[in-house]
Amino acid sequence: MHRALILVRRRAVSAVPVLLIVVVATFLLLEAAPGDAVDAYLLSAGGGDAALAAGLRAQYGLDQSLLSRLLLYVAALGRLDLGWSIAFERPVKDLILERLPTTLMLMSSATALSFGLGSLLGVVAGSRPGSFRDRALSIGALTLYAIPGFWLGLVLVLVFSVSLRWLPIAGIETIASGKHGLARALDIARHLALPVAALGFIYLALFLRVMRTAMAEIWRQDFVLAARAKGLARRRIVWRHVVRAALLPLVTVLGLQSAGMLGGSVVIESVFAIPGFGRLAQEAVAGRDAPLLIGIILTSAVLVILVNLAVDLVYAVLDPRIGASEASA
Amino acid sequence: MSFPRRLLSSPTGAAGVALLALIAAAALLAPWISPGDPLRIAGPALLPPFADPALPFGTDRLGRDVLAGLLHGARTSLIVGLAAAAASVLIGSVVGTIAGFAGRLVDEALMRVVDAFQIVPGFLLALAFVSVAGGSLATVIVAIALSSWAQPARLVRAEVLSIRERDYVAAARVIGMHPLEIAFKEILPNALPPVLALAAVIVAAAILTEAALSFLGLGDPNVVTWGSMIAEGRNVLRAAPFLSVIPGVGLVAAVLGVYLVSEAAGEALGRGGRS
Repeated sequence: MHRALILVRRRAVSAVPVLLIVVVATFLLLEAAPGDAVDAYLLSAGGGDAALAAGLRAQYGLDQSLLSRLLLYVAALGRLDLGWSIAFERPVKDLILERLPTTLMLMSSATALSFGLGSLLGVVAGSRPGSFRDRALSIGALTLYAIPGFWLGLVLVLVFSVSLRWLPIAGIETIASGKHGLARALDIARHLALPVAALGFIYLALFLRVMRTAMAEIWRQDFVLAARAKGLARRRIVWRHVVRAALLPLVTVLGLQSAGMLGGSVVIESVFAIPGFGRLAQEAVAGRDAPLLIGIILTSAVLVILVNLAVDLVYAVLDPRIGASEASA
Repeated sequence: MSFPRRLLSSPTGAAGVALLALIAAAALLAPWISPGDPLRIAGPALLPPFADPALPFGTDRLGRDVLAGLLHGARTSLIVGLAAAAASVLIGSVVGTIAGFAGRLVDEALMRVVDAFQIVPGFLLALAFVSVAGGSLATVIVAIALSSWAQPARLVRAEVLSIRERDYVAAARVIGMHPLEIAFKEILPNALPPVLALAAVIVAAAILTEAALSFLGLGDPNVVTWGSMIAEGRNVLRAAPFLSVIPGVGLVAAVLGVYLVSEAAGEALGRGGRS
């Protein structure tokens, strides 16, 4: 356990400068935008005079210099204060915390689907490299990987909601259904089925390919040869020796794809009208809400760091060599 | 066997080259097959496919020719994909070479910036950039390059680190070449091959990102893109599903073509190295 603690502390220390770069870069980027949240607000409110605009800017602190606003923002971050969303007239932190669980549910379900089914199909393909089964699955995975998630979502809606009428078209649950407990959970699951499939299927292809490639590599290694020479059954070699060793690169990909999946959820949530974190990002863009957008980008960066930390911890458990070198270095 | 022949001899390579040739032909010949502005009104609204020989893929809600959109959209996809990948590899190569060659503090600082760009979801970054800079083809290209240069930078740096200790680099140093000249004339060209393999993946990702951005309505409003066609068709998904399906097939074909070619190219190069 000691080793894990060292890893966590090391990561926390190295994350601080990186997150600072993210904050400053995003701040400067949004600063370069023509027009600010007050412009967007006045536009949506139907206009206003210059005095009103100046008053609003003073109220939100938009009239101060760039450097002082940046310093104020970073200081507030130290107190875990993400600022005030102008478009929603609410604290950014509350908005993000409110929207995050939906997206985390969507992402974790999609990850479970893609990791589970993808690695299983990868084993099927990789247990007999070069066979017809292997080639068919590989080409299928490549095709799946070439499909844009939002389009897959629309096609799934066409098939399962419009034609077959099995699943709801959009939303996260039936509005004002009055359902509680298990009935409500089932309702949410029905609503999430298509978005999870749209988001997960693409990464399923990724896991399949990584699993297959890793297995093909491992087949050639000496310990597999030894196992075959001993006369072990093929099934036993596949599951006990090859798959176990091939899981390591798969875990790495699990960490690497977390950023991509978070980005993908923006579009998927828009297709299915799911009020989640990704949709919040789109709303922040539409409302020119700089504090909200910075908060969203920063939160997603922290999320990606956390996922990668978790992956490294799992890795240290799976492969004792990794953690040992980290701890001694 | 020569490389192109090896590429075409594998079924994946041949299929990929055929797909890409089809898309490239559509992109190049679009002004001749469907002359004029693809966004103009060409016929009655919501004409189904194959109903009118002049409009084989039908029309959308505003009566715009779907075939014209498909062909001109191929143009946009290819331009954005290639330009964004080129810019991304260029930025990545420069940063990676400097980081790997300069070492110490410069390396440390640059790699933290690379870290920062890698932990922010690329699509969010592109979204933020386009919302700031406005939707035009150029800003979309910059946005995608900005969100994807970190990976080539990391790869180039790793290559440079392994190459800078070789003898010919030491020789260049001895004859008194300027460090920058050594970095960009001696080291970078030798670090490039694995980066070019990555470039294919970046092209595919760039095409998908551009499609997603224009699907969300953040692309260039004056240019036809497959993403915006899908978004437009989504409004009449029940009545005219073909409007969303057709441009999506184009997208899948383009991205799959890139993947197939890069996979076959990797195999061909691998075999070439061994034989």
